[in-house]
Amino acid sequence: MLCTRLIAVVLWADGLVVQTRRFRITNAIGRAVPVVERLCAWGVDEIVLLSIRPGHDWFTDVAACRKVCNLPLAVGGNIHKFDMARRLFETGADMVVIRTNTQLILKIAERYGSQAVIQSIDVNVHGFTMASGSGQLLVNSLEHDGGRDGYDIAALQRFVESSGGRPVIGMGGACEPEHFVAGLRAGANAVAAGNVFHYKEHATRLIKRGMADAGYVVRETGL
Amino acid sequence: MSIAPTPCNRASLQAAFGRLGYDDVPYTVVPGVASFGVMVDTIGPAGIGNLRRHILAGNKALLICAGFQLLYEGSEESPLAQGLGILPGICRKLPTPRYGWEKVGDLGTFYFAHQYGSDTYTYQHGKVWGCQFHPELSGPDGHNYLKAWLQS
Repeated sequence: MLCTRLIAVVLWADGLVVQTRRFRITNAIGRAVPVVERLCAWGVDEIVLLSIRPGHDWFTDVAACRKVCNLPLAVGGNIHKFDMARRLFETGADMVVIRTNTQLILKIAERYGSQAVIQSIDVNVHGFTMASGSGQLLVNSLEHDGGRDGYDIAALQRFVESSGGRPVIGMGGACEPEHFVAGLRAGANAVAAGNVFHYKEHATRLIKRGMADAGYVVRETGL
Repeated sequence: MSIAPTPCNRASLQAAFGRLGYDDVPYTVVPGVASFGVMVDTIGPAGIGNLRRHILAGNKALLICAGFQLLYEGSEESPLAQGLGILPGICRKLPTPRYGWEKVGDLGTFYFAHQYGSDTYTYQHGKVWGCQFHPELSGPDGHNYLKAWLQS
């Protein structure tokens, strides 16, 4: 039986891990490596490292995070050229996160396989096309980001319906265990969050317990 | 040969073996993260021949994900590409893509990411090990799996 994934999103802005609200930086947490190390130890199932403001040490930080990350690592942030994706794979990404750009996604999938591509979309984008090479769809929401009120459930359902059977990852606004469960009930295959892991004690354990209580199989971890 | 030249996840493997105290990937490892055809093309006919001899001679090898599928005769993913044929049959497209963690016998819980595969998740024959999951990305259980292979 496949375990339902809890994914931690680490937002990186010019060398620092940050928290955001409506995609604006509200708080700096610190360097990426200790954050990733902690998340791995806490027992999240996957890590997504997203650059939201470029900085010269981006690739250095991805490489350093790779060294300590013993989980699947997806990396994203303004990847608009094949070469940038290639460099990230060489640096340590297992997957890249690409905004809807069907040609680029196809090119990456042909080389690395579609399991290596996560297509990301904001719920407000009109004229959505599921790229044929993308393995998963990450659905984010500007309005819900940092709001602590849960995912945009209606939008999540809409994208689950139009994802052509590909796994959908919910993101944006989840804070309480019931928010994550609601995302799964809306059809998400995996649930992601960012801020909550930084300010809530035992967040991973509490969220996973909530998911298990709701009947989802989760990966048991030591901590 | 320390690592067969498939395009991806070399850094993840190096990191995982780094955490086990190795500077680089020791012994022969065929990592996954490529389509079946790209993997076969990248390793090349000579490389496939060498790998086959290496495995049949019982030398230490680890085949991961698409690398594990290489043990079979082929895959629906790339019908023209030939596998090693050490295991019988063809890898088929899964009814739904599998992304996530699953418990495998007494070995532990491991991370899977694949759209093609067989009914089997592991192969173990002396020092030649294969796994459909990614031990290098599977937390403490993956770490222990790699350690056990290194000690095999």
